[in-house]
Amino acid sequence: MCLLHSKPWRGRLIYTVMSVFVGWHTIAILAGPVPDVDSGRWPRLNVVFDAIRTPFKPYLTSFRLDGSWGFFAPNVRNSSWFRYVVEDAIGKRHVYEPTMPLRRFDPLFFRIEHQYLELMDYPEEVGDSAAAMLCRKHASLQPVAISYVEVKQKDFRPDDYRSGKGPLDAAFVTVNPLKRVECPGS
Amino acid sequence: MGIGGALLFNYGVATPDLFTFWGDADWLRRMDAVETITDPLVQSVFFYFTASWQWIVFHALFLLACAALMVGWRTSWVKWIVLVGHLSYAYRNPSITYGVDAILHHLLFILCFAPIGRAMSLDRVRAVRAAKSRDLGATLPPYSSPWAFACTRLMQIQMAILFFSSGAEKLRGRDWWAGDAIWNALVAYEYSAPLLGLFAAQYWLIVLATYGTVLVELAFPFLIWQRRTRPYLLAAATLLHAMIAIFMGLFYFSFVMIMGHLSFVRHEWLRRLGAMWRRKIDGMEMIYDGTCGFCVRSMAWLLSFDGLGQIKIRDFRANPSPVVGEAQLEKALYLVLSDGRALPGFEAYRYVVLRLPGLWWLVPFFYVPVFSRLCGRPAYNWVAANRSRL
Repeated sequence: MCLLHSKPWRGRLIYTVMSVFVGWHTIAILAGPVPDVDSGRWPRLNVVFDAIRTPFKPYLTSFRLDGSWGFFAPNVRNSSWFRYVVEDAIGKRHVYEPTMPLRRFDPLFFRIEHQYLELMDYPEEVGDSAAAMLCRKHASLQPVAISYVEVKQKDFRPDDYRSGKGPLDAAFVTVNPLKRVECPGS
Repeated sequence: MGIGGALLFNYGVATPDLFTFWGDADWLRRMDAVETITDPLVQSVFFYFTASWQWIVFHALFLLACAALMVGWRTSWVKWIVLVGHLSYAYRNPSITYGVDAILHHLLFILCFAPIGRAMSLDRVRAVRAAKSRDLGATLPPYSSPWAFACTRLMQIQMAILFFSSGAEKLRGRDWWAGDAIWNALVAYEYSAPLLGLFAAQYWLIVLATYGTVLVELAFPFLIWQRRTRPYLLAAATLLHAMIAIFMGLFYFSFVMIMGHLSFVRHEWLRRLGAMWRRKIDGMEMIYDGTCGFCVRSMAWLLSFDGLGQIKIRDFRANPSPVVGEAQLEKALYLVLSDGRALPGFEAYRYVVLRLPGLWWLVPFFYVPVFSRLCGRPAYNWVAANRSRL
């Protein structure tokens, strides 16, 4: 009888394969999210972390296991939301805030919000294709151009709330124009 | 079941936006997506699609696979379709993925190596039904395998690492040390939480919640392994996610996290829960006609959902019942309860579906006021009268 088909050997082989897999995967998911440290204070530590991460990188990337887990950390950053302005053929400006009508427990909220955050973070890279899409979406307005705007919340303290103010009041947000893109063919 | 349900819901609601999010022309053109990728290991089936129908067919197949995973049907290969699909959506448009997608990637990946579908699934029901079809008294032993243990342990390690990373990262932030982090999250426009007035007036609640969150996240990976402390840590983590769901509206995220935490539920707890349920629901005896093939098949079907073994069976042809007469049993199946009550036909099924956890999915059909009885009784009577021909 083949050695691998005998019961004790097969059991041991399965146990060994299983243990190796558990060990490998555990080290991989531990190594994956380790953040880079301050290279000024600990110059060699990042080299060590990189050396640990490198053998696992293909495995982590292939299965998208390379995420980090810093939910609301290290700090809860002030939120931003996206606003765009459609300029129509007669010069009228139509303002849209696409994430505002969505309820926060809408499962699509965060997908849509992340898409617009990407646009706010990289207006030069993704701004043109997004503008083409928005121009098509608002074709009935005969749009000439789309302008992107970031609305960013400022700090809002409990005292502000107690004095009757709201976290989205004009005094607690800043408005940053990002980019203006002409509609294709306008 | 939970992971399949979460994915089905998540991608099901995104169906109207399939082309907007992952299509060829809207947010991120296919060629742009392919060009930005430098690592050949980053792959998505969407990179290779060229016609609209391919998106639609794949999305439909993926949703069906999620539904199959949820109910535990053909799980041994369906789970791989779900993993490939989930990866494909994520890599096609990474900008719209967020934390919960990453958690699902990890859990789904481990599930793919686990022998899932061997308990509380349609696959298990099918296996039991096949055994019962040959012999109604047959039983299948509960499935156990070292791989199941290893994969459960991996899920536990995953959740522990996730909590520890999250807690440790928070320690680097001023907001968390100052006790303001939860307030800052609640006033963000995404969450604009209810009860802000209460929290502004009673700010100590915010401080308590902020420090409590960090404490739970840091304690979890260390104390969850101890037999004595596990129930408390599990309760604390579940409470934390329940609060996140209620006050921040992150129901989907909280649901997925709680699903991950379920890997820490001990088998003995489930066994105790099952035994408690069995004690609460007294013995039920189904009396059927053993000479009727349809009746035997129906019993095999019913018993395959009885994972706790709550129902006893009696073939009145071979073993007459002391409670219900033969003439009555010729007309309908009967359920005899421990207090001596005997429920015929539709009423028997109606009683059973509420008491067998495996049949709870049928409760909405059997308990629609008036309508269920109005349609159910005649339907049952017709089937019973024609059972020899079915």
